[in-house]
Amino acid sequence: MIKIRGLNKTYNPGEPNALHVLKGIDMDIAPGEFLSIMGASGSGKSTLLNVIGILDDYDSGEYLLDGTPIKNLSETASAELRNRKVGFVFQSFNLISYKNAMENVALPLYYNGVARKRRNEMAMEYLEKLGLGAHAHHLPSELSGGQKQRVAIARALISRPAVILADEPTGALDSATSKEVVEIMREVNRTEGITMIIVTHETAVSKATDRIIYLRDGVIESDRRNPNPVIEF
Amino acid sequence: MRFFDTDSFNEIWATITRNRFRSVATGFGVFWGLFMLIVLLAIGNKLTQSILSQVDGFATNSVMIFSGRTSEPYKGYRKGRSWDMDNGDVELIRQKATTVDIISPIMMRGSRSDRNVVRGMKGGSWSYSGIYPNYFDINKAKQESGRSINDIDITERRKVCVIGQTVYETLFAPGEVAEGQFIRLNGIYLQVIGVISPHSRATIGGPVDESIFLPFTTQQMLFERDLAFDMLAVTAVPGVSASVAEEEVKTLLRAAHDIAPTDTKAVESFNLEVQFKTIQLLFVGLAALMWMVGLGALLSGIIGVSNIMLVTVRERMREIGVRRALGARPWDVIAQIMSESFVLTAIAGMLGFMCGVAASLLVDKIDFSGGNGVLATIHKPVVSFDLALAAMTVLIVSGLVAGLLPAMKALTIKAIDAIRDE
Repeated sequence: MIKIRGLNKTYNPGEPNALHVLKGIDMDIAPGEFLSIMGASGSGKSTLLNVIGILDDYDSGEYLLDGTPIKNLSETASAELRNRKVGFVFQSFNLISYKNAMENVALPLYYNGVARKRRNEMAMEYLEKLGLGAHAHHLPSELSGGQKQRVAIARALISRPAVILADEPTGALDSATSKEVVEIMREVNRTEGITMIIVTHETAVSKATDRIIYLRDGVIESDRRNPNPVIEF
Repeated sequence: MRFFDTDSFNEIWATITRNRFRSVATGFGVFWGLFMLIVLLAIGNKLTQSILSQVDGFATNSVMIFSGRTSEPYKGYRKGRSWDMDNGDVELIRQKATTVDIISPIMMRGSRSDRNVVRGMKGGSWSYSGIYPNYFDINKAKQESGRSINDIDITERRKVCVIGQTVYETLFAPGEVAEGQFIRLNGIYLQVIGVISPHSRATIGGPVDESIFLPFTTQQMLFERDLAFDMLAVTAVPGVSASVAEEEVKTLLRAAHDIAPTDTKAVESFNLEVQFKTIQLLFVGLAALMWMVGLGALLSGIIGVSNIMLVTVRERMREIGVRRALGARPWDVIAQIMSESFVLTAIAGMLGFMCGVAASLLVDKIDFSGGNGVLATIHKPVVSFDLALAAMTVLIVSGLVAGLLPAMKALTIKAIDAIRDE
């Protein structure tokens, strides 16, 4: 699903304040994996996530997403690839405040050119799956943190992407809600079979995943299987 | 972005109504701009029409030629000699001049005595003119009743006349049929064949209302000692400037009457085309001024929209970033911002346009002509279709222009910067 070879990324190259953040990353992620990337701030995990999510470019190396080489894409091409291949879940949810839950979920389909009626039906379907059918017409401001993150997960799911990238999905939630959200993500991973990559610094989150990758100073420090994932908060 | 998606409109509407006061305040600039543009243009249009209506019906490519006194000695004649045009000149011009269309000699005579026109007990003092039928091609008149002077009147030297409206009202009882009746002009009986009133204010000589017109040949036969006349009206053939025709006629007249070719004073003239062009230039200047002021007001409104859209883009950086992450292409972002500014401009502009038209209808009621009822006959809509079309074009263009800068600004927002949580 994801194949990364010798990935390098430097911010401000050639300048005195040049910052070499990713120093030759090699990584293979199979379809349907549920893994976490951990690391201290400055370890390069956010940059790696941005590169995987086609939000940022890299300097050297190779990156294939679902068989497509990702390099030097135009803004339009990368937008279309993101739309079809990648789903995002953010720490601060990033729902659009003046759109209700259903419209927020349907947004990726809007950019995919799906007709309004069809995309709203699909949005309802995914909201039902995540137990939010009753809240479909609520604005984000009328939802709790957990509900907002579930809307965000539904939004990431709706275009049936190759991979869902979650950047600190529990960062803004209390432990009970965090547990709920991680359970849902596991469930989605199991039932929908979508590869899920969670960037986190919370050990509790990483313990719930099947594979944990540690990044330190731009290199992979460890990459190990977690044979007994547990959801404990 | 698919523009014909209900959600696109809902979205635009949602963002505009989210900050209602700001949108209204911003829209007001555009509203006022278009309002001013329409009202100013309507006033300019109305003013132009009012002035134009004064010369309406008068051939604007016509020249009046008068005989004056020579200012140079020539061929043994002393200077200061007075001369007259005669019937031979008309023939000469008709045969030789290539740029002249209508040739109409006029013999205008004032009322030399008190009560020169009499009918029974009634009478008055009016001027009278001997004319050819084509006189009314140069200076249109409204035929109130009866008929005009025709070619047979000319060739048969009929003792007939056409009288002005005021003359009719003075000599006849209200409702009385004038045609067939006789009036006495300078002691000679003439049969009335028609009553006319002026088409517009501009006339050759005195007011049409207070004049009597008779066939040129009749007048020469009855009242004149010789075949001389004092005024010649000519028009240029289509596509030729009246000044060219004027010069040609003058040259012919100078040669025929032994006047020095360099004598500019002997043949006098009044070129209506030149006058008309001066007025037209004034109108062009007026229209340009109106457009400038109106567009200026609109421009400041547009800058306001552009400005507020820049602020909006700044405020919505995160939202735009999220949209980029979710798959919005650069074009989607541009279209969204542009259509927001376009819709705001269009709504405000339409309102301004409609209020402007309403106000223009009031402007239309204002009489710039100084209370001359004759002008009511000319009525063009103040806000013409062309003007409406121009205003709409300006509006559409300005809506798009207003959105251009903010859209470019929005394009520089990268998803990665906008959604950063730290």
